[in-house]
Amino acid sequence: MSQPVTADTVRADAARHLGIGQEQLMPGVLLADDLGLDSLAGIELSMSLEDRYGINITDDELSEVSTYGDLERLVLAKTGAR
Amino acid sequence: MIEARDGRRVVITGLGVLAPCGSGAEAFWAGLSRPTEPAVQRRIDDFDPSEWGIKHVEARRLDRFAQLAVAAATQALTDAGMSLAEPGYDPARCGVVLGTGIGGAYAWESQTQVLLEKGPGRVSPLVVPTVMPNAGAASVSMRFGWRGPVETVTTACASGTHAVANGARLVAAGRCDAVLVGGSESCQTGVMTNGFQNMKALSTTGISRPFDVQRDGFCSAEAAAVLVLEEESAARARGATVYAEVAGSGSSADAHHITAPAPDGRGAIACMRAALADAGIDPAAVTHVNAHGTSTQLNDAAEAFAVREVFGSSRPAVTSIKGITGHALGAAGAIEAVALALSYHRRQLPPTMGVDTVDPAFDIDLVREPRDWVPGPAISNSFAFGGHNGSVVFLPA
Repeated sequence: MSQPVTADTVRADAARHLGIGQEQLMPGVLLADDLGLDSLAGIELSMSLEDRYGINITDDELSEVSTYGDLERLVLAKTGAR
Repeated sequence: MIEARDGRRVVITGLGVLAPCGSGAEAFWAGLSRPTEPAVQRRIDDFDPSEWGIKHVEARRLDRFAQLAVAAATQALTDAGMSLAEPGYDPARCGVVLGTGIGGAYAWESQTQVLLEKGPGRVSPLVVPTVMPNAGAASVSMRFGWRGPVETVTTACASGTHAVANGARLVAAGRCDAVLVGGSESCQTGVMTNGFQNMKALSTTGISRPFDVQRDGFCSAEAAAVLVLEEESAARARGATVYAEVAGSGSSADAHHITAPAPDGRGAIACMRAALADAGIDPAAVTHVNAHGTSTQLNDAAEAFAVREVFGSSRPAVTSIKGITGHALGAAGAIEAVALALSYHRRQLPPTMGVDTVDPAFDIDLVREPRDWVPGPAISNSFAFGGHNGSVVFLPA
C-alpha cells in the first residue's frame, strides 16, 4: 500500500462507501441504530474495507462490532497501523 | 372480465413511465412521434436514482431494472394523486404485480467478474436479492407500504402485458382495491447483448421499423412503466382521473419453438380471441391494435397475419410504438399500456415510426402519422420467447 493506513484514510473510505459525510463517522456512532445499516450493509461495508486494505475480517470479529469506532480499530489492527 | 364480482370494473388512474424517448407521461408521449437516430441499443441517458429518493446504499442493492421500477411507481402514484407515504386503501388490499424478462443482469455479470478475479470471499452478500427478478416488485412494495399480493411475472417479452392482466384480475375479483401493475427491464450487459446479437435477433442497421418490408430485427431498450389500477366506483368517489378501463385479457402459448413464433400465428390468434371474449367485445368493434410489432421478420409476419385473421375486413388501426421505443422486453407491454392509456386521454393514436414501406404481404391499416381517434375498444399484444402470448382489451371509461 503506497499510502499509510490511518484512522483518517479508513474513515474516508468508509464514508465514500456509505455515501455519507466523514463527520457522520464519529467513533461512538452506532452502525445499526444511528446509521441504519442492516446486517447485510454491515457485511458489505466490512468487505469493502477488506478489499481496500487487503485484510480479512472474520464473521466472529464482525459480530463484535457495533460502533464505527469498533470497526475502525479492527481495520487499523489488521493493517498493523497505530 | 370473467373474474369480475358484483359488477366490479377495473380502471387505470395513474401512469408512470421511463423510456429512452422520454420519461414522464408528457415527455414520453411527445417522444413517440419524434424521429430518432438509429440505435440498436436504446438507453435512458438521464436516469438518476437519487432524483427518486434512492440513496447511495439503497442504489447498490437495487439493480437498474429495480431502480427504474421504483421511479415509475413513484411517478404513477403521484399522477394518480395518491400518497407516497401510505396507500389510500387498506394496505393489505393493495398489490403490486410487475413483469421483467431478465432481472438484475448487471449485478449477476459484475459479481461473476468479482468471483473470477478476486475469489469466492469477495462476492457481495447482496448479489442474491439484487439479481432476483422479483426485486422490482419487492422494492416497490417496501417503499410504499403496499402489503397485499406482491408478485413478479416473468414471461420474457410478454411479462409487462401479463402483469397488467394479472393485476387487473385481482381488482376485478375483489381481492384488491388497488394494484400497481407494469414492468421494468434493463439488461444491456455484454453477455445479454451479445447473446441477442449472436442469435441474430438484433437489427444490424439500428433502425426499428415494425411491419416494414426491410425490417431486420429489433433494437433493444431499457424502460419501465407502472400503472395504477383501481375499482372504478372507488376511483370515481375519490375524484381520480380515469384514463381507460381494463376490460379483459387473454393468455396462450404457441407450444411451437423456444424463440420463433408459430408461423400460422395460431397462439396470437387464440390469445386475442380469448381477450375479446373475456371483455365481451365483438372483434368488429375494435378500432385500434397496439401491436407487439418488434421489427423482426418472424414476429411481424405472424402478428400481421393474426390481426387479419381475428379482425377480418374491419381493419382496426395498428400502431407499434417500438419504431421509437425499441424493444424493452419485459417492460414492453407496460410502456405500451401507458401509450394506450394516453391514446384514450389524448384521443389520438401514436404513429409507427421508422417505416418506409409497409410489407406488401400485410393487409393491415398501419398508423404512420399521429392520427385523431374516437376512443373505442382497443387491444394490446405481446408475444414472447418461450411462445407466451398476452393480450389486454381496453375500453373508454
